[in-house]
Amino acid sequence: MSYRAIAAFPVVFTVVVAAIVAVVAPESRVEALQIAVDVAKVVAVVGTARAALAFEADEYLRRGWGLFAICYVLLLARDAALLVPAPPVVIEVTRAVFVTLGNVCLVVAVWTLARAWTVAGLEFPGTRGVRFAIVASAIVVALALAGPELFLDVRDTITGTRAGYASIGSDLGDMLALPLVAPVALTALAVRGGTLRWPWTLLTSSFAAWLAYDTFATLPELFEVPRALFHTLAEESHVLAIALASAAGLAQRRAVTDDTPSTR
Amino acid sequence: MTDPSAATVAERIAAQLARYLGPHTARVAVKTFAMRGLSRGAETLTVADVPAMTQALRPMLRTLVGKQRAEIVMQQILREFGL
Repeated sequence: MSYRAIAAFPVVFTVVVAAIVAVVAPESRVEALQIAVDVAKVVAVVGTARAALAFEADEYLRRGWGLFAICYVLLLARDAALLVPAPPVVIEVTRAVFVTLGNVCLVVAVWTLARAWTVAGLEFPGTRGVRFAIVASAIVVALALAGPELFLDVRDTITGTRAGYASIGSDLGDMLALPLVAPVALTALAVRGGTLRWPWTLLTSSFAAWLAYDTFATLPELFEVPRALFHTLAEESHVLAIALASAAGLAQRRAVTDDTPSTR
Repeated sequence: MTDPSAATVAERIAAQLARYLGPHTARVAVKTFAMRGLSRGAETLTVADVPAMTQALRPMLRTLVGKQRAEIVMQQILREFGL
């Protein structure tokens, strides 16, 4: 499969999901989107695990991609917990444990991938001031998008209006992982023109889709907007973000294992 | 057309790395690791320095493309110079 085909897959997948969601009955949309998210997570496990297995056991990026794969396994387990016949409190605690562990894996995975350039002994492009500005901007955006969601989930959990332990774990993961988009994006910028641009650009795009997800998910809590539409947009961004992570893994594997000279 | 023989040693090493790292970072990598591994500027590299340069580039390549691909790239660099 060419790099272009790998890069096209998340977009096609998300467009197909959006088309299906548009034609199903409104009362079935939430279930349809949840199925799409879970299918995307299975695909993400495959993509990121294939990237990890392209490296040998003691290699740096094996750890990063492997933790990414474990993260998606744990997030799938979180969703599967809903299918287990158990008291609601047990299910909620189980889901909170899975989502917290999943987000710990996500943060460490993204941290590992974000540091790859530095570990390789290379410097990011641009002046120190420009790099600082990019990192600072990423931190501000992450706080602006994940902060309100965290506040609302903590408030709702304390007041008991909504059991939100799993959401709090997810919000904390977002707050810690999203600022790391800056070094990942700088890596993508550094390798433009080479085969490694594909995994790093797809990974950066995945983070951008996560930011869109956070935006669409948070806005209905803060402003009067059409809640159902924003839920749909949030979950479609969710599907896109996960599918892009899978594609990044597949592109990483191709860059490491493929002998053909094409960079496209 | 550019005569390949007119390219410097540094440019020829960078050309081999560019497939993975892109042309800009490939040039930067050659400069960085010539200085770090051989304590010399990239413009001073000669064919005799190529084996040492591949060793200097090895940790960077292993991190970004893995051991197996790093060895292939290093062999490609050596072959480029008939070594």
